Amino acid sequence: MAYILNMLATHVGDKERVYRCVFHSCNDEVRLYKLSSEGIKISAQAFRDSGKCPSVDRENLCGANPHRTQKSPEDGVVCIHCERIRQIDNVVQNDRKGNLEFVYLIDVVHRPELCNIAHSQIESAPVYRNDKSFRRLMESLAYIVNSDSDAWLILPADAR
Amino acid sequence: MAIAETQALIETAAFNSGSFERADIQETSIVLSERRGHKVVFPQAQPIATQTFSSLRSKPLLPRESYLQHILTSYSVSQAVAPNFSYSVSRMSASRDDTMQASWSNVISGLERLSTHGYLHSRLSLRLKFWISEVNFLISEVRLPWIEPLINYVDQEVSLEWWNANKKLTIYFSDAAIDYIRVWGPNIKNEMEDGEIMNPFFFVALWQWLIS
Repeated sequence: MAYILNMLATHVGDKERVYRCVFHSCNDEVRLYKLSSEGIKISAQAFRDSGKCPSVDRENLCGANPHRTQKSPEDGVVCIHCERIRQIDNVVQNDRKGNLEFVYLIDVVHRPELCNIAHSQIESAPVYRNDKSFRRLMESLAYIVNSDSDAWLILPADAR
Repeated sequence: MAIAETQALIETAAFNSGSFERADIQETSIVLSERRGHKVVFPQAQPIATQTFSSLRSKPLLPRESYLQHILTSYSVSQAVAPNFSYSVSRMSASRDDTMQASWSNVISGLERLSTHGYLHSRLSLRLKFWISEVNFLISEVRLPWIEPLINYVDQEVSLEWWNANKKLTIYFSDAAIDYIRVWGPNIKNEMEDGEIMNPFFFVALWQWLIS
């Protein structure tokens, strides 16, 4: 089955947009956005992923319907242009003395799943050696969203 | 009390704070040394602390008496061990304490919620609360404004995030270290920096940057 799914994977174009679900703050453990008089700010933690490959959905393959990306009706959804993701070039690996070793290449890779053909991942090459590098990616993605007034396609329930 | 005993008490307090590895009382100064060799020097003859940081060149922040008094009172160490600093007690007003309580109260209540629900293990919680008490003191001492952070606890670490205009500061608390990332512009290649917060003074320097 995995082989078939891999056969379905296609290149994600620079001009495409991807959707990311931002879970509604329903518990005390995780709050992925902050509401203030200035509006809504997405947390870098909204892009945290245990495998260090944040999941996104390709707009082109989910009918440009961000509601498909929601896990629950209360969740928010943001979109990011793939070109901007691939332009991220500040995710670096330093040695113990703080000297630059290399820069991670960031890409959006289509990883279709049985239940979600649009599923993709924001991946790095090589894979992250430590949390610090991945934190830089999370921070970069959050900054891209927060600097784009059109990034929020669906606001979380308490921000609507 | 003998100088050696005074030094031992201050050294214990400084070491327990997690910020400094040792304290040396000399004739003209008190030197608190960090793990990586950075030093905070409190000249005995001058009321200003000088600091040396690797990446942030901050201006002198605090009168030496204040921080030492804080260390001493934090550990219920008798003022008798440091008679030279006793006068600073009268300078610490109740209103300043009220300000301190107001600024971090939401953070502390947030941490308590996490602890109550079993998310935050007690050792990290205690360490974080102690660190907050120190930073609390320093920020109120230099009269800096306050911004409410966003608090999260994921993968065994607590994150605090602050935004101010186009500036963003995130700090991560874990058992191993206190790290920060700051971002200050759209060119994230050149306008992002990360590192480890070695002591509360460093955080105050970051805070000054955030609110400036």
